[in-house]
Formats: sequence, C-alpha cells, structure tokens
Amino acid sequence: MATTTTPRRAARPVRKDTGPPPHSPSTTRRRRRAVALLYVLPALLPYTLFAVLPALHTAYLSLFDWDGVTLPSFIGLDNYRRVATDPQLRAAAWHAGALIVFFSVLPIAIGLVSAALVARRSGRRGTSLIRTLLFLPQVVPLVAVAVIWRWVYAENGTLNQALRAIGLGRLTDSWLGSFTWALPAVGLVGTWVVAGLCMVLFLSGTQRIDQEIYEAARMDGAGPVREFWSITVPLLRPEMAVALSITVIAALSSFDLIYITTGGGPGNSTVVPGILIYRLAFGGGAVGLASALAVVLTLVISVAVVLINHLARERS
Amino acid sequence: MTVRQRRDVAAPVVLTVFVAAVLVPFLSLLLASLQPAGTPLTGLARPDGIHLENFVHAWSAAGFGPLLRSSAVIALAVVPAAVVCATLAGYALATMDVPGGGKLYGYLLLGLSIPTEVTVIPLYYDLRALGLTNTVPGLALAEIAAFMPFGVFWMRAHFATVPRSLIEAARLDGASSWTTLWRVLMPSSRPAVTTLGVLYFVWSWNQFLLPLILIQDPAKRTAPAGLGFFTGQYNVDVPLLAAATLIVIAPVVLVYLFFQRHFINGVLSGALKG
Amino acid sequence: MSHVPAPPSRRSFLAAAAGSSLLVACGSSLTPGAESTDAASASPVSTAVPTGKITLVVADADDTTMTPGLLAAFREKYPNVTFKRQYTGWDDYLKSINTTMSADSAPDIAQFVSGMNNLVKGRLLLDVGGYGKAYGWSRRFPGLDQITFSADGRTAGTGALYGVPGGLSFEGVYCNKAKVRKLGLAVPPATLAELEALFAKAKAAGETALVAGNLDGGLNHPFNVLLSVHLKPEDREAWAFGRKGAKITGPEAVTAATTLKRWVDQGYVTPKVNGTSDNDATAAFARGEGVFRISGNWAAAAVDKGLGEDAGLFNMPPITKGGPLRTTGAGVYYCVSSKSKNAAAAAAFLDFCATRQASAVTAKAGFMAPDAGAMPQQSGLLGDVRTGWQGIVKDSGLQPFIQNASTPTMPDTLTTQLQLLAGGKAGVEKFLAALQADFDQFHS
Repeated sequence: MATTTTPRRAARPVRKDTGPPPHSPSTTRRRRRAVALLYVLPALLPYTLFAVLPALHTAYLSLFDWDGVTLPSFIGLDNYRRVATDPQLRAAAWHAGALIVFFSVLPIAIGLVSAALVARRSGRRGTSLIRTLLFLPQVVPLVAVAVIWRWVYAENGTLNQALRAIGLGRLTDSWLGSFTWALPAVGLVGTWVVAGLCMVLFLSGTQRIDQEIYEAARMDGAGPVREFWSITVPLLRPEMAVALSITVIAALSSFDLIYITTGGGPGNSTVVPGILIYRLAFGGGAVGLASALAVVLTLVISVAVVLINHLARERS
Repeated sequence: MTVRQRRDVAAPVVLTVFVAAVLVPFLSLLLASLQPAGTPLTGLARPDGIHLENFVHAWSAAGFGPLLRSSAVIALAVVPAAVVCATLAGYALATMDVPGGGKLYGYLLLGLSIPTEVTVIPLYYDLRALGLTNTVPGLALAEIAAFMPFGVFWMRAHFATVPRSLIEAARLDGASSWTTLWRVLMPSSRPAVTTLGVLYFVWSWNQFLLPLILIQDPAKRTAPAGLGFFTGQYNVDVPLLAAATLIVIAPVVLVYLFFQRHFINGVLSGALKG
Repeated sequence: MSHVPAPPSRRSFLAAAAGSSLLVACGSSLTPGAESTDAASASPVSTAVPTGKITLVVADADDTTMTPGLLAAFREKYPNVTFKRQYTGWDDYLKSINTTMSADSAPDIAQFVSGMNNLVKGRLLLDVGGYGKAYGWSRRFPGLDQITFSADGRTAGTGALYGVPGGLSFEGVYCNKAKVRKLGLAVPPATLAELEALFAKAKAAGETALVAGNLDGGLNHPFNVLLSVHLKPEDREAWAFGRKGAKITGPEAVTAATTLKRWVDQGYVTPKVNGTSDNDATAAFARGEGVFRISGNWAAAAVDKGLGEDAGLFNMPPITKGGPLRTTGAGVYYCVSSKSKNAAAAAAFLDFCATRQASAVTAKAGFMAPDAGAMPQQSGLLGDVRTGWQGIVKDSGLQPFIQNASTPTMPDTLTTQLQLLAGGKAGVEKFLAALQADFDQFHS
C-alpha cells in the first residue's frame, strides 16, 4: 500500500495544507500524504472488510435465485427485471419520499429549537434533566416503541382521549388502521425518535458557538427569535448537513420502525422499500430478489447522499 | 421590557411541550411496568397496585444478567475502537492532504446507505467462513464497520470547523500532526467526541438484527434480545415487557447522564479561539 | 454495491481486492448455502433410547410451559439425557432459525415454523420417516401431514416426514357468558347461520359481536375458520399445502370471503378493526369488551384470567346441523437437525410427545395433546377447550392455516389483502384473486 502520486488531485473537500513547504518539497509532501493515509486506514479496513464486502457480496448474490439456505442458482438479471415490474415498488418509493418530512424536516426543526433553548438555559437548574428527557426516545428499543405507540394511536388510546377532552371527539380515528392517516402516524413516531438525535447533534455544535456572540446580540436588544435565526442556525450549518444526510437516509431506507408498528399496512399504505426487502429476504425466502431490490435502493440513496453533500458544500 | 418578558415565557412553554410529547408515551410504559404481570393492557391505565416484583420476574425470566453483560462487553469492544478510528479518519480527511481524499470520503459515506436488513445474510456466511459467527469479535467488527460511516462523517464535519490558524500555529511550533490532534485539538473536541461515543454506545446497546443473526446462542446475544421473551406468537406479557424495557434502557440512560456534562464542560478555553 | 456514483479509488479497490482474497483464502464460497447431498437420512433407525451421557440442544419459540415441561418429563424417564434449551421470542425465532440451523453448531431439535421448509431442500432437516414407521407415529399423532414435505420443500402433505407435534392448537369461538346470558343468546349455535344470527342480536343490543384485531392481520383467524367450514376438505388442504393447480377462487371460497366481508360491513366486527392488533383484541375481550371472539386455544389463559367464570368456548358450527366439525389449527412441531449426532435420542423425545405423561404436561400448558383421550379433566374454560378439541379430533376436522405452507410470502399477502378487504378497498373477488396470484407466482 505504498502511496504513489495520483496524477489527478482529487477534489479535497476542505481547506488543504497551505503555505510553502519548508524543505525538499516533494519528499516532505509525499511523506505527509502517506501519514495522512495512515490516519484513514484504521477506519477504512474494518469498514471495507465487514460492511463493503458483504454489500458487494449481496450485489453479487442479486444475480442468483437464492433462498438464503440452499445453494444459489445463477439467473442473471432476472431479479432486476422482477424489481422493475414490481407493482408495489412505486407506492413504496412514494411513501419513503413522504417520510422525509417526518424523519428529516420535523426532527431537524424540533432539534434546532430545543437545542437552542436548552443551550440558552445552560447552568440553570433542571437543564440536564430536560436534556436527558428529550434524548430518551433514542434509547428505547424498537419493540417497546411499537407497543407504546400502538397505545397512543389506538381507538381508545391517549391521542383520542386527548381529542375528546378538548372537544374534538369527532376527529378521533383508529390512526394506524386508517388508510389516510397510517403513514403520517408512523412518520410522527419517527419524528419522536429522531428529534432527540438531532438535538444531541446540535447541542454538541452549540458548544462551539462563542457565548460572547449571544451576549453582544442581547446587548443590541436581539430577541430569542432573531438570535436563533441570525446566530444559532447559521453557525450550526455543519451539524445540519450531517443531520440532514443521516435523517434523509433514515427516511429513504426506513424499515424497522415501520415493520414494528404497521408492518406496511393497512393494505399497502405504509409499505416502503425496506419493508419489501425484508419481506422477501426473511419472510419470503427470496434473498436473491431482496438483494436486487437492495442494490437499487442503495443506488438511489447514494445519489441522494451525494446531492445533499454537494449542496451543503456549495452553500458553505 | 416586553421582549424580555415574552422570551422568559416562550422558552419554558416550548420546552414543556417538547418534554410532554416525549413523556406522555413514556408514562404509559412506566405505568404498565407496575401492573400485575400478565394483565392484558391497552393504553394508559392506572396501575392496579404497585408491582415492583415485575422487575425481578423479568430479570430472571429473560436471564438479563448474561445478556446485559454481553451487551456491555460488545459496547466496550466497539465504542472506544470505533470512536478512535472515526476520529483519526475524520481528522485526516478534514485537515490533511489525503491522497484520493474526496473519493475515500465518498466511499465511506456511501456506507450510510447499505441496508442491513439484507446484507446481514451474506455477512453471516462471510463471518461463518472466517469462523467468526457466534463470537464477540465477529459481532464487534460488524458493528464497528456499520458505525464507521456516521463517525467519520461526524468527526470530519467537526474538524472542518476548527479554525485553520490553530493548526497552522501548532505546526509552526513544530508539532507533528499527531501532537496537534491530541494536544491542541482534542480539548476543544470533547463535545463532538463524547457525542459520538454516547451515540455509538446507544446504537451498539440496542443493536438488534446483527446480534440476532450473527450470534446463534440466544444466551450470548445482547440486551434487547431479552425483550423477545415477553412477546410470544400469540401472547404479549405487557407488564413484564415494560419492566424488561426499563431494565434494558436503564444503563443507557445512566451512561447518557454521566457523559452529558461533557457536552457542556468541553467549552473552548479563550486562548484557543481563532 | 456501496460505491457506485463515485467510482472507487484505486486504493479502495485494492483494499476490496485484498479483502476478498482474504475471504477466498479462508475458504468462503461466494455462493454460500447447503448442498443437496443425500446424507440427511443415513444412519440406521432404532427405537432403542441410547444409553450413555447425551446432551441435546433444543431451539424453540414456545413461550408456554409445554416445551420445558416435556423436556423435564423426558429427562425424568431417561436421566442420561440432558437438554440445553435455547429459547427465542417468536419474531426473533422466525428471523434467525434458518441461519441457526445451517450453522455447524445447529441445535439437535428445533421447533418447526413456516419458512423452515427451505431447510428441507438443503437437507438440513432429518427425514424422520424411518423412526415414524418404527415407532408407529401415524397412529399416535394427528396433524403429521402439516410437517410432511416434498423434496424441494415447496409442497406440504406429501413426501417425507420431518417431525411430530408436541402440542396442537385449534381455533374456536370464545364467548363472554355473562353477556350471552344478559342478551338471552342460545349457545352453542348448531349452524353457522345461527352463529351469524347471534352476532346480529348482539349488535342490535349495542355490543361488539365479534372482537377482532387486524393491524397485524388477525382477521385471518375467522377467515381460515370460514374456509374450513365452507370448502371441501381436499380443496382446502390442496391450497394450504401448495399443491400445483389448486384454486381459492371457487364459489365456496367466495362464500367464505363474502361472509367475512358481511360481518365487517354489518358492524359485527370491532369497529376500525385495521387499527387494533390481534393481541390487543384478546386483551380487550378479556377485559369484558364484546361478546364473541374467534381465536385459538393459545388465548385461553389470557381470556380465563380476565373473564374467569364468564369465559366460554365452543366449536365453530358447521353449515348444516349435525355436519362434521371442521376448524383450522396448527401446533408446536418439533423437527431434528440432519447434523445431529444423537438422532436416535432426538427421535425418542419426539416419540415421547405422544405418551400419557406428555399429555399431562401439554394440557397444563394450554395445548391439545396428540393423545386427545389422555388429556386430564378440567373445569371452566379449559374444560370447554378440551371438549372442543375432542370433538374436532373425532371428526378429523383439523386443517392447516392457509398462510403457513401455501407460499412463503402468503402471511404478508394475506395480511395486506385482509386489511384491504376490511377497509373497503378491495371486493371479495379482487381479494381472492390477489391471494391466488401470490400462489400462482410461487407454484408456477
């Protein structure tokens, strides 16, 4: 793994080393680049061996008819042909796109507001308790999340009780069983879970922000709203890029949360690609077909990731 | 002073709403864990007496002792290793001239979109070929690999915000890249690193599909596997499931409480600000 | 698969190449899986329980006291055999059992669940037909056809035998006796039409007649039972077992589906049934909601605990008065790994499940013993369940769930389609056609 010079300098994302190299420019530079590579290697190695290779292996197996147990038989692109003609796939893709609102937009908004408010309170009593409480949904195992939320959304559940209590009894529904409301209902469970993650990411970011900036703003009579928009939000842009990528991916590749709450129902109204993959791989014993669908999904998500990061880079 | 007054009112109100939205669903879990075991339950219900023995029953029925221990062992194997690897890679990708850096970064990033729900099956066969199924190292390596993209992503985003002048100054003082990272950058990076560590811990602790497929002996799986003891094919023992859930999340909450002060205490000291 | 939009750098390619050569060096094949060799039923068959110290590993998802009870009872009889039980919750078991059984450390005995028929093709399950003959299992166990598979594992009810039921289950009609008395309903009804008339009366009195939950497809219980009542047994079985050319679109099936749809449309079934899970429906019924519930004996413990004296159960009535009783059921089946070094001991345990000692354990756990006559007398709801079971066994009326063996995707398809049917999004014809399409795709 000697570092040879690459003829074309890869587009480096960040500020690169600048300034004139002090001594024998090319050797120092080459050495420094070799060292830089050594820093990346410990991350690259396990990732390549235990994440990328199994993924490539999956892609390879997508060319086979395979049940996950017996020997696969090669069928070329047949699985992809079946994926392309799957009647459920269009609906699934649409649902996954719609989930971006609930897994991404809402949690980031809530995360920003709560992080800003919590950060402003820092040092006051009860702040750490609030922080912990807001993070709690992240730590609950999904099996329990499902049980909890089925109760909230049930015919006699907490949500309907609340609606009746404030005189909106006619709005009650059986939320997870409604062809109209099941998708938003499941999406809000996602919001509940992901918002805590976003808040933690943003809280970490607010630590970089100089308290003096806030104080100066306050001296100028800036209210919390202006403070939020003109200081907190712009300065948290790196964290927002991370949060946006992570949550959009979470939306597009969503699976477990939907699996445990509605399983894709009622009918097909909450089916997403991840559910189809899982059903094929674990329920249907069609691992080859599931792999083909997974390859397609990965390609789509990869494009989304690249786009988001491209945009994030351009704006900063 | 109306602005100030409004501010003083608005913030607590918004926070209270958020906290309530988190707590109301949670309340039903807490109340359920206090009901008599085996009670059929749906929704928020006042407990019929307080049955703390649920926790004892849940603990012994699911054998949480060994499960929590293996969760801890795996988290201890995964979290430090993954945090260090991600920090080193993020540092290099953000501040150094890595050959092919942009592409390597993209290569790592794309790992975020690998759907585990199917790759876990080939992964099982790959690890079986290496003799690593049913072992802690096998599972730990799989988790480190799965967590790496987020970690590199996160740490790179963090190091990219470090003022350039700080690194320049360190280099002019003759510090190597290694010294710069640990002596100069680390102190101000504690919030980011702690955040990553806590998230890794939570994910590893609650990781479910990987242990289920890669570890064949149920007694060697991780804490969430214990919840399966209370969800049968036709019957769910809700009070015991709720108690078991609280047992599983308690260590994570404690870890979070312990480390969260680092989110705050890691504030940059004035001298290092750029 | 992960680095497609940006072409991999040379370095990552090298790393990948190094990695794959590592894997190949370690003997991994890129096309993993079990080969179909004929080693699965090699060893000679004997009904003698081996002596000497033996340890059998047992994997199961049985959350009742049956499996541990049977293991303990067997061990009492044969102290040289020790068991190492590996229990996993139901959902987790479904996901992990196939990989567990394909590992070198596969358990000797495993609870059979649908999806494991793939293991048949891979020869990972032991053909226990030889033991069956030697022990005479066909006389002593009902429901063996449900665990008999063709060599490719795609069709049940034909081919080789892969296990026996430790305990069986069947669907019946639960009733809340207090409400039945209050509303003046005459139970048990003699015909299906009479049952529907009772539903109408209960509904007229403002009650939920039939408590159900379809969030996870729980309407399959009444639907399966309606199919059992309406279809000719051979048609019902041909479809459930996945025989080529079988149809579920005939007039009897239309009648069954129409009946279910009518029950929903008339408001007999729990309102907004798609939003309630099957377990929550049991919980609601046990709390005293509604009058009837179609479910299996597995719910008896919960219903008994909730309703006590007021809990009752009767068999699904036939179409014509006095006709043969038919219902749907399954069971906890045990199969043996072809990798087991102690197959004779495992077979001895399977045989033990049909004994009188085993019956006591099975019945106590709420299951139906293979030897129905040997089940101990019980009172109350459990007594009703026992009487019901004996009636079913007498008429040989136990039929498989249509989703268990027909196709691997049928559980999901049936759930989806039942939700569409109950939600008014699909008519009866479309509903049955969708089930048939799934069937035809797999058995083409």
